Amino acid sequence: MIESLEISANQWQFLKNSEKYVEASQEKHVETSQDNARPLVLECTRRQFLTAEDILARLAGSHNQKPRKGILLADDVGLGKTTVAALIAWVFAGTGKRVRILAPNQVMKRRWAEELNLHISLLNQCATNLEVGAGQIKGKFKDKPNSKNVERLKGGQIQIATHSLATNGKKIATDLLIVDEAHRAKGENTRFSKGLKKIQKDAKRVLILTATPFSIQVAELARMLRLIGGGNEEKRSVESFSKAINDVYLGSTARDSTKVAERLTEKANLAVEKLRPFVIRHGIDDLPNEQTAFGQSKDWNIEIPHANPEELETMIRMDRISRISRNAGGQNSKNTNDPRYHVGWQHFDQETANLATQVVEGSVPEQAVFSSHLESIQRLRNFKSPHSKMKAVGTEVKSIVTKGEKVVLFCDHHATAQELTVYLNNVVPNYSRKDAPRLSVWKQAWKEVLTSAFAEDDFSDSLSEPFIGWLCSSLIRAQVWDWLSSPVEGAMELAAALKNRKVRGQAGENFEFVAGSATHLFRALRNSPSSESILKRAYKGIGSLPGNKYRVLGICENPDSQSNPSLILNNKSPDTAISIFNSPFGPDVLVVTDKMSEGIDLHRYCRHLIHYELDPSPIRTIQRNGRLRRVNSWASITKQPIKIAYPAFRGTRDYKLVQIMKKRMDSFSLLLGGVPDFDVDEVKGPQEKWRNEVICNAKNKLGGLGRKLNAKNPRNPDN
Amino acid sequence: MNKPTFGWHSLLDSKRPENSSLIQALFTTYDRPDSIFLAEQLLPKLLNLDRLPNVEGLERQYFLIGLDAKLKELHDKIVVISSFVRDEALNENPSDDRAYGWVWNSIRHLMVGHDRAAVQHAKLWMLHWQDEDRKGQWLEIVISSTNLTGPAFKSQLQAAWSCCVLLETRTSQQRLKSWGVLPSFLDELFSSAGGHPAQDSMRELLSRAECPKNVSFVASVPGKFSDKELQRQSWGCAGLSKIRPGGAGRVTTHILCPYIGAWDAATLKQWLETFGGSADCLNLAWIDKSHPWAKNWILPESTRNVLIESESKMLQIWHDSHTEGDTSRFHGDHEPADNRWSHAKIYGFRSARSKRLLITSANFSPSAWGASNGNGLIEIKNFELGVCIEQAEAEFWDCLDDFDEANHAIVKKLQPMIAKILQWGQAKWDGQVIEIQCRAKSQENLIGTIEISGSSNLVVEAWQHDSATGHISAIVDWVDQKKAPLHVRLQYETANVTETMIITVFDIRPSRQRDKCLPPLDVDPETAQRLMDELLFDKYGGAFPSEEACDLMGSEVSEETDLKSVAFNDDYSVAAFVFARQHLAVVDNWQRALKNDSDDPTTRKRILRDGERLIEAFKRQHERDKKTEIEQNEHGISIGSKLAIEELKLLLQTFSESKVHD
Repeated sequence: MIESLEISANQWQFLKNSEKYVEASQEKHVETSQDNARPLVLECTRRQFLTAEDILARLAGSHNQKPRKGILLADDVGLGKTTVAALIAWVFAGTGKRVRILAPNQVMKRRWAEELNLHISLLNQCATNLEVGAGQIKGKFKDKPNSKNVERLKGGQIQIATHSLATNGKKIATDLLIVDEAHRAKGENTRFSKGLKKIQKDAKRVLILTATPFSIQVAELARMLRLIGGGNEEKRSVESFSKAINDVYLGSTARDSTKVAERLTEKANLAVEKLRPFVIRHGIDDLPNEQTAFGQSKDWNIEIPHANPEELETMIRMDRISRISRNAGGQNSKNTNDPRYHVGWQHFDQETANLATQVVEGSVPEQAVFSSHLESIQRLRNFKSPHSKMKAVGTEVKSIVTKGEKVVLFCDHHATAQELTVYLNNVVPNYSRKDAPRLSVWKQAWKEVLTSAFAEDDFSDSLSEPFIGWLCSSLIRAQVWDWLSSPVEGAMELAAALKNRKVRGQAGENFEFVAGSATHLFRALRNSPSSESILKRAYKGIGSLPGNKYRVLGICENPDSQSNPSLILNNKSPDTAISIFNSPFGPDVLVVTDKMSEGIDLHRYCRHLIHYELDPSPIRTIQRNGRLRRVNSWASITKQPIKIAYPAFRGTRDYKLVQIMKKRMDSFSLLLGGVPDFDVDEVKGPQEKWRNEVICNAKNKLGGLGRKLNAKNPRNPDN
Repeated sequence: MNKPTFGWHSLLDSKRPENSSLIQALFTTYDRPDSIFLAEQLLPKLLNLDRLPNVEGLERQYFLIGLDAKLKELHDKIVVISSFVRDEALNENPSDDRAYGWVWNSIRHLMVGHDRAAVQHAKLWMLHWQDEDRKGQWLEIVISSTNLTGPAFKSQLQAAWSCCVLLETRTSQQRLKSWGVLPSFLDELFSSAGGHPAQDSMRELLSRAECPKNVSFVASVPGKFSDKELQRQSWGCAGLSKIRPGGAGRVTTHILCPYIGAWDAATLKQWLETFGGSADCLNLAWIDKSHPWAKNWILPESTRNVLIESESKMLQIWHDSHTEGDTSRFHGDHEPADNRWSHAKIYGFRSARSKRLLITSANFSPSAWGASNGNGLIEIKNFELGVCIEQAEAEFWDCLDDFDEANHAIVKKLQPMIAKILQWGQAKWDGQVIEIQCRAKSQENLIGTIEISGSSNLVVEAWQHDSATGHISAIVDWVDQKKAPLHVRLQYETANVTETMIITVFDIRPSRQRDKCLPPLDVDPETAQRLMDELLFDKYGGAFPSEEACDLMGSEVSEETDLKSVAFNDDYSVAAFVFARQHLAVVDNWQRALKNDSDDPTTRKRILRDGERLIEAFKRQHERDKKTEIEQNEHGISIGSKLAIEELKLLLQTFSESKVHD
């Protein structure tokens, strides 16, 4: 028997009036130009409100529904799951209930706090029946990543904690437990998984936010369903659909594709039917009204020349020599055709050097062959020309940044990211506008701008001075000077220009003023403990904020000791660099690895994404794209498309990977994320062709399947 | 229809271990060996060929090249010894030699009668096998009544015995002795055929294995032998004394043969006495006049009369033309409607409970078993070979009944034996000249025509007579290395007599020159070369191109389809890597083969030679790959072949006995 919530539908009446809420946000935006938030977009808010209303009605058992223990919200990335969950959290807290939110990490924890804070003034205006205030948000936001403190929650409070809260074994009674990215539980026996199982018993209701249902392991999905009250029937149906998906990707391809497609369709329909009461999901492509808000996605073709014979010979010789070494029991027992060899030379050259130090066991003939290949590789690599793919991508990147746009490039490997960062930094030109005011003028102008903006705030020297110093660095000065179209004289005139001119040389009401953007950035930095710490250290003369020297910035792990720390950050919590890239200032080119593909926004000033090196995982690729395709993206502000490029180095493994990935991504939404990772070397053309036939057959019958899980108006569920 | 166990293909079944390969072989036959049968039926089985000969298009070309390659590998290791059959010109099928005459460039065909007249009538196969990992070797011996011709397999019922014995590493005289007359039979046979190294190697094989228990051999060799000589070496009927069943009393004899010679009472008595038999205990299985076999089975009336007069029994092999050819069955698997005629030669000897079954090539004739020539000597005209199995018996004799002598299928008399003018021949080509040798009673009226593959015939202009050997010989120039001579047609023609002898030409050039000759293919030379190269790659584990293309496409490829374009357009494979790994895998497998066979000099030499051939093949492949690169606008395809050449050269350089030819 599910305990009553004692929340009536009247208490979320405001959700029926998204227009009012959006209007309020727009008014607030005009009034307080300092606010970091862009005004809400009606189409998106309407859908988010409907989703929140549907979830609340199901949890509370309103409109003659049976109350449910929990709901799984599995919207595509970028649709604002956090917003929906924050609204629900406020309805609970606003009516005196206790809410606990489990975020995957500290960064996301702060993101939750921001989201909750964002709604306070709007709710106070539009939902006067709810008691909503900043004081209700609890959580230790300073850098204590492993904090396991169990807050004693009073009614009306919201605790934001990391997943680790679930693992401390203590009883944590709550009215609503929100688990963000619950699919990270990964396995029945992990501490988090066990902890979740335990604490959900102390929670009256559970809201789980997760990725596309079948992109996660089916066992995980089944476990999540059980957490929210699902039973064996649901478990069986998802397992059955998952098996049908696996059958397509792993089973015999000698069968009749039509029959396999029929089976897939049947299992998919059954699974969706069983999931409907428990799962709400929207696919980004199923929301035509909101496309303007996300930004239309457009294919971006970057022409890469075919690998030339020398490049291919170098790689093939490496493949050969690695195999000889492996067969002779050498150290190189891994992939002989390493994916990194196809997209850059850095790792290749390192491995060549390693192989050169190896003594190959085996007969004299084998040693002769080994040495011969090694010599040939060294001879071929003597011509230190940049990698062809990098060169072509570099030309395109150069063209993008010259037009005043930012671009993010994703790599699968750190070595590739490092090499790409260094290369792009060499080819991306510096800002060229001359006649900029002197440094002292800039300092004075920025001080004027920021002092007036933070007149009523705590604006200590230990934070502001390094920030102004950063704004006055050669790169940011040149960058901002480039945006200010006409000459200025003196600090006051410059300050006025900073206040009156829009960022990135744009004009129009949607764009922020330069001064406003700087204020937002400073606020964001100040709110992040790690950024605050960097500012304080900079004040003491130790280091500086990143992104003040080069137009290119790389973030990846373990850069080699010789790499330039101003160019490549080895930052385990890259909040600061991300905040800067998400502002109009600083680097225009960001090179990252998949560490940055989940849970981080990069969309606010960037609409160009290049998959320089793909991870062989369709979900990862989708997540990368989700960094830019989000509500209120730069694309939607500029009314320009989001451009996503999959450059492929023809003639190499890289090209093959891109071709397969494009096809698999096409079926991602159709199969509710059930598109498995693949080993590019194992995928055979004919088999993949057969799979595509199955998907194509199923597509005709499954076209609207995903939409069956969309939120419904609880007052009129049939509509 | 025949059951599979009794169909003609069963005669090709081997007892060898799975995945074993042939090292050498000896076949003997009476009739001139049938090239088509050899090439399309026997050799594909023995040489593990996986392509089909009778399929149109590329498949057949692959088959021909595959067969040619295997035969070149086993050059002079397969020996066929036959008789010269005078009337072979009449049976000659011209398309036979045109299609497969080239196989005799690699298979040594010998004729008996090098020194004196002889008839080779034995049907012996000796097959030397080696298993896949080259750790074990076997000798398979087949003794039967089957000639190496298509009709012998497809239109005749045959009796056969076979065994497959494991070969020891070392030779032993004791083991050799266990084979009884067989080693001496081989000596005589090879000697009559003009000699060949296979004689020693076959003897050596026999000395590496024990003869199976309860088995002994009975052989005949042509010649005139005194009793003393026959006591020392029991040829012909003397051999029967060695296999007579034990126990006292007379030996009952059963005979099933399609050809019965001219026996008189005395000769018959003499033959029977050698093993303790008697005429009244002799049973001859025979047919009536209306039997379908009557046109093939021969019994002279005189012999029939001798048999009846000596109270021998004639037992009827029954046949009913009204009941779908129902006939007496030889055993349980023998289908009643079998329309093949029996060519089996089976003898059964019984004395009390002691039994012997003789499976042999020897018909019941004095030529086969020998008969007194009136000078106190026993004269045998034929090479015959049989195997005697102790305590074995044919079941069907008990089912046969006497029948009315008026119904006996008989002939009035046998065709008189006319002495042949042409008696023996052989020919070989060393790349410069074709050397022909023959034994003929007359040099006059002798015409020699040499058929050359893909070229017009040559005529032998001058014959030489060697008084020492009595041979007639000729030497004809022929230097075109790509067109090998196939055979020499010797024709002796007078107003009264016409005789034709076909002598195959054996290619004795070094292997590098031999490689230059291709079998006649229905494709242009460039394609032919490509197919040959592919088969060589295939030999060392290279992915077979058409299979690869099928795999890439996921469906069958028609011949008209452009394989390359399909492979490149509809696939995710990285072409340069696929090609490179495929080619370099060939190098790896070649190197592995060399390592595994480093102890065997012959095999090692062959593999090293293959290394050289691979370099040449990869050079050609490199050119083809470069062409593909241009056609498909796909770089890097040719890198793999380039690297394969580079590696092979390096590897070969380390072996002093091998030379790389650029």
